Amino acid sequence: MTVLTIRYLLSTRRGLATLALSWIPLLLVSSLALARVPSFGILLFQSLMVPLFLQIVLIFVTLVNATSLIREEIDDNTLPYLLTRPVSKPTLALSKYAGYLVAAMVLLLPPVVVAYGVTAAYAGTGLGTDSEVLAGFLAATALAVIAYGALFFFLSVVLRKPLTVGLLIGFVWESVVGSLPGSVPKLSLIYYLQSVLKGMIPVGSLSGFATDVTAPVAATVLIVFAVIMVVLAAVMFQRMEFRQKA
Amino acid sequence: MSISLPTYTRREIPLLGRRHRIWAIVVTGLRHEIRRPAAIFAVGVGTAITTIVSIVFVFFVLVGQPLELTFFYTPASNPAMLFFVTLMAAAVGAGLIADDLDSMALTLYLSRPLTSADYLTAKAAILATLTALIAVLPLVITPLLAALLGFSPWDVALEAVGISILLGLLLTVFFTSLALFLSSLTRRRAYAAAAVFAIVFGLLATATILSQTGSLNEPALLYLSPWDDYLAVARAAFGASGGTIDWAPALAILLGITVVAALATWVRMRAVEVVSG
Amino acid sequence: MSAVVEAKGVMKWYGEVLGLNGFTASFNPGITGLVGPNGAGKSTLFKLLIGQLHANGGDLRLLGQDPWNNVELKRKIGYCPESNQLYGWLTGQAFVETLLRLDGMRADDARKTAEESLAFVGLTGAKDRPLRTYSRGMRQRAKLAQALAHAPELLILDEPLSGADPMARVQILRAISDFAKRGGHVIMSTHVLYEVERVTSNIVLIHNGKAIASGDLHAIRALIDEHPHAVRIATSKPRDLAQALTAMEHIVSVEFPAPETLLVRTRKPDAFYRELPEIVVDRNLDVHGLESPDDSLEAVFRYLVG
Repeated sequence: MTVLTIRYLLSTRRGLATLALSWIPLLLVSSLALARVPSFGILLFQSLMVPLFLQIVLIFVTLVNATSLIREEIDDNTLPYLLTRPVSKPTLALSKYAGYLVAAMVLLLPPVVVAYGVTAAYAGTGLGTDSEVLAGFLAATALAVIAYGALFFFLSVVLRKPLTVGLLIGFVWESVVGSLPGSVPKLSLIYYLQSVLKGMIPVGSLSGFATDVTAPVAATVLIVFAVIMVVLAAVMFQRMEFRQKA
Repeated sequence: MSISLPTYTRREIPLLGRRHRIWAIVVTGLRHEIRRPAAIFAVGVGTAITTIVSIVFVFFVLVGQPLELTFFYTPASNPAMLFFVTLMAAAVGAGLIADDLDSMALTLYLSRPLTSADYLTAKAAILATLTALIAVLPLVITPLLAALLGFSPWDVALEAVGISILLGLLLTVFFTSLALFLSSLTRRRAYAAAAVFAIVFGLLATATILSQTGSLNEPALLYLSPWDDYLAVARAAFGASGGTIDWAPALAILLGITVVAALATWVRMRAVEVVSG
Repeated sequence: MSAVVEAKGVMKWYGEVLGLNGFTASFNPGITGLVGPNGAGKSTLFKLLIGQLHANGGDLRLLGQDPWNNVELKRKIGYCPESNQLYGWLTGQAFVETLLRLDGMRADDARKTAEESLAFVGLTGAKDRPLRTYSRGMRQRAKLAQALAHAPELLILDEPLSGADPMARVQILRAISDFAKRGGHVIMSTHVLYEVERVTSNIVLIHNGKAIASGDLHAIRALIDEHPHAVRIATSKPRDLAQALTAMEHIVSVEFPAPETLLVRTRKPDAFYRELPEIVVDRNLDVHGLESPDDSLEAVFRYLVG
């Protein structure tokens, strides 16, 4: 099931589209490097990657992939083929999520590495000079894939139209929540992702994020959240009935 | 013994012109789309928020001061309008063509005496009508209300109404064209909807960051963002100050993208084949 | 052997709509046709059997077990859904092979078994083409191939001939018969009696969510033959014709519902249609219309439902 999911997410036309999208930040940094922009460097790289890559590209890729895992099987009337195999529903759900994780990591991690490499090469610094920046963004990307994917996966199991809610959460709530007062920002995933980045990248604009959670704690929160979402999704899927559409 | 077969006569029904056929699609589509919860939310809340913000601003900030034309730039630049227009484009526009491709309703349309242009015109009219409710209505209500309450002279208010209609229509046609283009690329409305959000907010974020001091410090990069282009045009229209990009190139970019997206959609629809199984 | 499927008072609601309404029936070993009009509850029953839905009441046993969330039972059944939608991006071979891997088969075995299964349904030539390029008949056969591939005990086929062209129908029916000859059991649903007749005489009739008859097809037909069969005849001399027809011993009643119209009820429609032309010719009568308002499965059920 995992392999089937990976093949579907990566090899169909949709996979190619999300692959192209995930390389947009690389396209941008390459353009800046080719245009010999004087102020382009690792600091600008950091400033760009959070809003453009983490909050737009990554959300888009995780949203369209994670929401399709179960919901498209239901909408396309192909779920009976899976339900009539000697595989329990929770195992099916977990296998699909595992396939999503592999596919999303394949789509999203390499562009981060290459974009960093282009930036470092342009700045004339070695790849190891700002390695904490690369490590920070790789960690944040991986944790975002896990956490957002789990959330959207859960939404796709419990809601008939998960994308609208996913869009509102991913593109609206996660963007505006940082401006809200008090502890409200802690009710978002971006808060913990920013905490991870701030903890791992001490120098630069990211160190100015208004978070008071350490990177290890933030990473733990994200993983625990993902586990809870995936378990809930599996439990709900186990109890669900499926009326096929006409 | 004889058996005779019944005879049939064919009723000659006069066929209505293309205008009527397009209208039929528009009416059917509007009836269907206006019932979507997201559309109701976008229109209701979007119009309410934009109008209420302006009225609150008038009552609590500018009490006693006569409203000039430049004031009406404030409701036009309300970021809530960007959000709700994008939501409408994603919730309704993304599915207008994608749903027809998915359900193969397109085969029903294509089997009628309709051209691709007719089909697209009808779809554009559906989305434009709903989007205009958010993009135009609040901007028209605010000056009228201000004039009725005596806060603004009628000539200023009416001028503001005229400018608001044009600005609202500019935003409407841009988002309509963009949404329909994305909708024509896929049979899953979800992807088109996500793409609408990703493009609009992605360009906004990128342009904002890159144009700032400490970054590239290049204000011209704001031309990349459709919302900033719209603000430049609105600023010029209402005579408001501020802003770092010129209205003329901004307007050209918005109209250019609108036309290119519309043409691309038309070319795409002429090439689409609906494979039935 | 005990019944393959035992249903006792099975209830299933979709909100306010009743899918199954106290459905009680036994499906014996061999091939059984589940026959009923559209909306009778056939697909609902099948979804309950494969565990896609959960019954709201009653008791349902498949091979002696409750099918809801029963993973091991899935090894013994093969299901062919009504919907023609498949994984369009997979080839026929990959489709069957992948599902066999989910059944727990090793990769090599899955590949060979998939090839054999596709050959069994006549899809060898198209097995490397994407499923989205398949015609309706080919999709039906591909669905059957995946249902048969893991050698189940029981095949559950939901409208297996729907949309299939004549050649595909022949191949599908032959595959079903061959499967049954090898000892497998089949439950197939259809709303067309003559399709079932070609492979089995064992049927369960379902209507409005209830089983209204089950058993041998010929016995059910004989039961129906006991009920009067209506025939409407358009003639310029209805009374003359009526006088001649009432001499037949199987005529139950004669009515004149409209001018130049005669409505006859007969217990033996075959005999009636055989004798009518002779009567009309002998008496030089003029018949310009003949129709049977009862010539439908719906009418059959109406007789049985009362």
